[in-house]
Amino acid sequence: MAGGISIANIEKAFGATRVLSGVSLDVREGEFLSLVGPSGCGKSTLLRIIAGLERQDAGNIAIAGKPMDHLLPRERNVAMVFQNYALYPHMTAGENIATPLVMSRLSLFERLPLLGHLSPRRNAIAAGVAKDVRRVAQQLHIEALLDRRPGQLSGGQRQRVALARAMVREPAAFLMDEPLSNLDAKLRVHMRDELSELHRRLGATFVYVTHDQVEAMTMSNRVALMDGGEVLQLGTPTELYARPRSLKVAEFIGSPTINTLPVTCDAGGGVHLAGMRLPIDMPLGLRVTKLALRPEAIKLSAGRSAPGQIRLSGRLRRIEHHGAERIGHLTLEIPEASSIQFRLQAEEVGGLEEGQAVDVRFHPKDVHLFDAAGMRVEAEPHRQAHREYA
Amino acid sequence: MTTASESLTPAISSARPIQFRKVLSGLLSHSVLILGAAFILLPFIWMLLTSVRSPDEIFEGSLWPWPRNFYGAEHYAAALQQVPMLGFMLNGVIVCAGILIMQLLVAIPAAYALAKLRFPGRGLLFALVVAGLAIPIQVPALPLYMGLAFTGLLNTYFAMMFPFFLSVFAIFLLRQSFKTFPDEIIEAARLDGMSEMEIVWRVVVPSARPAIAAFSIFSIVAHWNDLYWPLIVINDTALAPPPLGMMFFADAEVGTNYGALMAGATIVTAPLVLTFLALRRRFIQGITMTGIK
Amino acid sequence: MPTALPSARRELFSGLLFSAPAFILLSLIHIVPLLTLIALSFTDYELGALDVRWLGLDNFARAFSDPVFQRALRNTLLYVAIVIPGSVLLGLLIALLVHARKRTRSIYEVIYFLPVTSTLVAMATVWQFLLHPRLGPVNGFLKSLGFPEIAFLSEPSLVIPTLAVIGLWQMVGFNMILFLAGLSTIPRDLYDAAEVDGAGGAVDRFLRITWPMLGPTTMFVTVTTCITAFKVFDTVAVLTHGRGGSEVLLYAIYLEGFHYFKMGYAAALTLVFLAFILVFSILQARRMDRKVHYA
Repeated sequence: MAGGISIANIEKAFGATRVLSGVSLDVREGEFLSLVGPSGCGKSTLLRIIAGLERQDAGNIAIAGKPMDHLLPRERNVAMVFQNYALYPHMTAGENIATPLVMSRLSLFERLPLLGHLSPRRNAIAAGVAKDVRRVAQQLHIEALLDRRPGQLSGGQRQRVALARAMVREPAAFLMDEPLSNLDAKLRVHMRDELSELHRRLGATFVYVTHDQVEAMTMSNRVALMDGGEVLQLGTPTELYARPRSLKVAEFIGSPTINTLPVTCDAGGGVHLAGMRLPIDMPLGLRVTKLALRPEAIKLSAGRSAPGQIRLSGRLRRIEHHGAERIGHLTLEIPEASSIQFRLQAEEVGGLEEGQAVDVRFHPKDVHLFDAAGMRVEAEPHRQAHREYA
Repeated sequence: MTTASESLTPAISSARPIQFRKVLSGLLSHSVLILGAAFILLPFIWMLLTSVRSPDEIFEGSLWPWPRNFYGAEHYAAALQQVPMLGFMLNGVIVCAGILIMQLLVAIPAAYALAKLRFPGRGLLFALVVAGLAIPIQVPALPLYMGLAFTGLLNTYFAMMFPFFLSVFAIFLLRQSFKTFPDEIIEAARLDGMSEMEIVWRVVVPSARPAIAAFSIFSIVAHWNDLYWPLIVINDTALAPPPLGMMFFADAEVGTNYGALMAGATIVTAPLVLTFLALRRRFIQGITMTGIK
Repeated sequence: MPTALPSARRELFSGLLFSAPAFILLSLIHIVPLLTLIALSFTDYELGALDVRWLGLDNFARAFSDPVFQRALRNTLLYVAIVIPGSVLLGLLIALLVHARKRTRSIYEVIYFLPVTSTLVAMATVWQFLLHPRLGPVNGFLKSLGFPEIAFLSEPSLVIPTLAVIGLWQMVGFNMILFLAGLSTIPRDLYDAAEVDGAGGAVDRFLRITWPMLGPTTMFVTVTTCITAFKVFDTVAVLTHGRGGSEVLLYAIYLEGFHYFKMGYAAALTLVFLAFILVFSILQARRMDRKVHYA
């Protein structure tokens, strides 16, 4: 019943528009994998191809080792939760949840209105379906809602009914297409928690599509970041955050967005920022053009800085209040870079004023470097003695 | 259809049967649709064919679709000369235009008042409009006829047009449309010193053009094709609109000149059908508006 | 607020002014005639007659024992009974088939809608010719297959069904368009969900999603068809003139009122006709409530 999903070289185009260009991905059994990316990156199309709602132009899908390519959606043993839930508006919540079971347990004849009741086994099967519906409804705490229609339910309740409809048939995998995007912010955070908990309890494979990197980072075992019909990076949330494989990944993951500064490389592998030689060396032959820094890697530099650190000066343009922490916006004095953002703790802000000149510092080990193509380049351990830069 | 593939093991189904099934169902649906289309088109095709056939061929009752001798000129000339077909058409244009202009002049301010103004009698007017929607012309026809007879107005263009000067449907539809117009713009126009009349015609009406166009098509089609009311109030051939003229023509010509009769039918039907073919979307929208309201 | 009063007065003044023509015409065209009609229905008034007698409900009693009116009523109900299922079910079938077509969809839409825009009186004369016992192609075709000639429009048992087929021919495209509009409002997601839930087969899709979701549309189409069918007049006036026992409700009213000028009796018949129309209109109004339910 359980099983991973293997996605190999999937291609898809709608007319002249290429949506997926050779996507390969292995979803492990029981894992929560998010497909995340900006809208139009192909993530929903990929999910629909896995479900069988869309046919790929090339490539293969296998679930639990069995090829799925020519199977209809209902034959694939997957359940799907849609963005706007796609609940049948004319059925009660209970009937909605029962639908997949009715479809699989009753024959076409038995499903017909009126005529179907002639079948002797229909009542027994209906009782079994009702029992399963109640069991799932209990798990999601929606027993009281089973007789209501979707129109009479709140967003969160509809969400739960949609989940129950997916759970009731115990599928090999759950496919979810931005299921939280129609909820208000508070409920979204709550449902995030509930979905993670549900995943843990069911132990089933979840493939979760979202454009919200926070959702992807908080719930997933692994995240596949997609853009332009390709998987840019597949890894754990920590990997994506700490070692982004490209500038695009670095810029997509994390809030506030990572800071980027233009750098140049000399013939000897030395890296220069606005004319300053940084204590970072590149392997010979590799050239970097961009340096990226997470906002939390930048600290206010009060007085003398620690050895080995890099120091920048600028003017504090704005302090943004975010409750416990503050985000400082700094206009740098170096000509090519305009502005960077960094995190401040509440207690550090005391005495700071907008418009004031400040110095900040960061450690070379926190720096991400990218070449002209936007790909990550690893620096070598620094060959020269520690120096200080102002 | 579904159970077969469900109860079999899923692995058996492959791309080919799905493709095959698709082609088969496409073929089946096209054949049903083409059969239906043939039924729909049969009268139109036969009308056109008969209008260009020689009387001999018509009286043979032949099933051969193509005329052996082209006889169209004679039939169309007969339809235009022996019967004042163009006169009927002109009457139709006058009546439809007169009705539509009055309907819009009356309905637009009333619909605006119902949508945007507060005044005593608003609820009553709206209730009457909704009730009026359910009452077809055949109901007040009798007293209206008596009224026109007593005032000596039978056999006039006015008699043909008067009962339709007020379209409760126009009021209802335009009220819906005007209701979606933002109040802020109306208030801004008031602050700019526009009178209410100017606001209606210069600010609100231009934005409701699609609804007005749709209603106009609905109204023209309905009155161009109406037989019941002209049949009651008109017995002077010179005033007859197309359907009534066509009926006079048919009564006079039955059994004698089917070719000319079909030519006449073609002439009467052509203006609306050609307009329909030119403005398909708007036309369909206009006539089915009753269904989407 | 100093501006509140003038603006309220301005609204009141313009509102009355703008609605005055509508009020006046509404009274002249609907209210006064309707009251007159009701009053007439209790009298034996004939156009041109000098004295009028109060009959009470006699006109209504007479109507229901009048064989001509009884036949007209029976014919109308038979006509409606053929046209409603025919044009609603065919309209639905064609809409379903057309909806699934991509490239040819608009061609079919235009063809099926053609009769709705054409002048029924003119097309009725065409039908008369098509069905002509000797000259018409329909009988020509039947004869070529070895069947005897059929007088569709004069054989009493066939005339109403024949008129109903012409009515169906005229209405089916209209109903198709309404159903197409209904079909386009069904969210695609529901079909996707059904596909995943195992209800992806044609029969299941139709029974579980299309048909229930079209419920309000079907109700509306049925009622609209019903009202239109009750008003059948043009084809009778052109094709049969009510001969051969082919009277229908409106044609009977037309004859009594505008040929024999029996205004009192015709008024009573008109009220019977109105009663039928109102029943269907009320059904239609109740549909609005149901529609809200799904939202």
